Amino acid sequence: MRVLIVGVGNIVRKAYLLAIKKLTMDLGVPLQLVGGYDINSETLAEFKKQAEELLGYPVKTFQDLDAALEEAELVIISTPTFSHYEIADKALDMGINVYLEKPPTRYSWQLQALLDKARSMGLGLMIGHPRRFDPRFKVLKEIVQKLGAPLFIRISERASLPQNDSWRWHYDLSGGVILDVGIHYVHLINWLLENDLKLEVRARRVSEASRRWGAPDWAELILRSPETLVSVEVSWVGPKGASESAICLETFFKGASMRLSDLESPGWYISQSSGNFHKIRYSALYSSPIEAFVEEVKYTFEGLETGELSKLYVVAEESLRSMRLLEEALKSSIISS
Amino acid sequence: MTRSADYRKVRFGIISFAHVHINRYLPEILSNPKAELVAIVGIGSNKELAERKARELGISYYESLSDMIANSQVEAVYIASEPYLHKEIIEILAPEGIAVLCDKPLATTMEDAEKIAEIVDKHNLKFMMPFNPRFQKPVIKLAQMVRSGELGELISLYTVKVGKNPLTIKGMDTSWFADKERAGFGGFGDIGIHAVDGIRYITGSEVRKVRAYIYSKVHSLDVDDFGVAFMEMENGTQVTLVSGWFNPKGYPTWLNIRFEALGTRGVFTVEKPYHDYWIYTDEGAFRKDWLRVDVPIAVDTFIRSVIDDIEPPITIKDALQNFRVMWYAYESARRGKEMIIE
Repeated sequence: MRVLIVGVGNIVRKAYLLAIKKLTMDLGVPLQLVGGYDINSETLAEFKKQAEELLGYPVKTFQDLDAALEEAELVIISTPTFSHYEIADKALDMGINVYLEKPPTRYSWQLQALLDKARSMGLGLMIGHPRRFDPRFKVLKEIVQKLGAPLFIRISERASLPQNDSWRWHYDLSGGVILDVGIHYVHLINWLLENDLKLEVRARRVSEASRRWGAPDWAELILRSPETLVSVEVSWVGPKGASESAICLETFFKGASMRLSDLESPGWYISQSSGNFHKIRYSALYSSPIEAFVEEVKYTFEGLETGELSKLYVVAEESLRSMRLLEEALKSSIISS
Repeated sequence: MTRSADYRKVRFGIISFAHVHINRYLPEILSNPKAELVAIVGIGSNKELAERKARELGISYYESLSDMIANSQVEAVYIASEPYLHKEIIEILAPEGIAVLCDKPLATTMEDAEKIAEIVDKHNLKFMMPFNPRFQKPVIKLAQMVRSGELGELISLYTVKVGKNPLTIKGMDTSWFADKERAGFGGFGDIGIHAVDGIRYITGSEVRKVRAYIYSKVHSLDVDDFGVAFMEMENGTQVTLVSGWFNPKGYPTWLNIRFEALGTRGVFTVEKPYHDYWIYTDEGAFRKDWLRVDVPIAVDTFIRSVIDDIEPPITIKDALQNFRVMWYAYESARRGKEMIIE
């Protein structure tokens, strides 16, 4: 299956390329990365170099989207959120299966339109929600199935975002940290609890970039099912060295509790004669281990290969429900500075 | 300032053995060189235990506060009764000028809590409520880093304060914990009020808004045993508190306590307030504290405030404010909406 990546920035180089390498070279999945498209020629050149080193065969680069799409059977779209809809819509029109990095679209109506089109054309539409393929959360789901609905779940994901004029700081382009990171967890909790959810959001604009360009950079998503309360803290603000606290997860059940902290996850502690003491991570990404992306791309490939597109639509539908829940909650939430 | 060698001994009394905290406070009062335990009063639950302890220790035992006052020349007391008795006890002690170290919560109703505050103010009574987090070294360090600005602006604070079911404690009658009339709050308030004080202390700010969800869903009790409160402080810090009596039996310590603070310039996690060993046995894994300074420092701080006649670090104002925050949290849960604390 010929795969094209549109938008070859950070997540592609840290996750998708490694996942494709593992899938094709270790697991024998017949995927071929035909090339990458990006508007930035430097990014494109770096991508080509890394991809060819990893995969051992030539990889094309494109700055003409139509020409790029002509080459693909499956397109992985990893551009800024606001551009997803247009690119995905074009790809579907050209009869190409679509894998959209999260958040799938800026607005839920766009995802609904894409899903309708994919269904009517018999094409695959998958949304990249790696948390549900993440071994840590898969084990949590097993425990929930064994012990019953939790009383309370707390998840915290924090990253330090550069204070530059990136599209992410513009609320209308990215949806801020609420959509950009929050969608991971609304989707995850939907998948985990399989129950009706209510959502409230409290959000803040803390950093100078957030206040200047409008995208909230801190939020707590409070989700409630009939049996479970969930608090999800998502933040783009914090110290640069806070990577060790990137993801914390705590779950309380009736008669049990469990906790995962990146402080306790595998890594290498380095104590230096300079007096510095720090931890080197085992994963290039703070948020997900590479195994999650491997599983996710494999799941997509298998759905397309076997023609079981409903497996992909289920994920897209859950993503759509999560988008709608977020949009509804944002209507009544106050974003404070 | 008095040098420690010059300290005299304060004549100390213990009022009631109802609260399980007596097991921690009694040894600290006995071992403090500046205190002399001279009276134990057996009111409320566990009277027999109070009387037996008094006999074992050779300390005068009294059936009533008036007997104690008439015969013991007590200067200060630790009140470990059920909270519904606090007002009645303090009403009797205050005119005598007997300093009070009173376990939490302050009362069982808002009306009683405010009345106690009035009495304390009217008699200029020395009063302290021992909220442990203020005497826990990692929490003190966190508060210092917030106050000094080292953590930058404090954006959020996530607080866990979860204990096991007190009704499972052996050797004492703890049934009153599950009686709203005598205890006031259930598990969320019983344990969470410590965290409320810790939150106010760490942030240096007051709770402005609270939205809480409080339930009885773990132990089939008549009172709540699980709750979560979402709070906003006056300085903008967003706080999440999870608390109650749902720490599972297999947890290696009685309490699961944690503070996670996110600031613009730092993240500070208090993983646990005490220093401990992990012990692995054929029955399971346990943690054993090897350094726990909060209760001894709380007792010592109170005694010093009596001897030096200075204001204790945690006053009736704090006790009342912590009670109010908790009361509003319960109101929020009951009414199903956010409450603004005036």
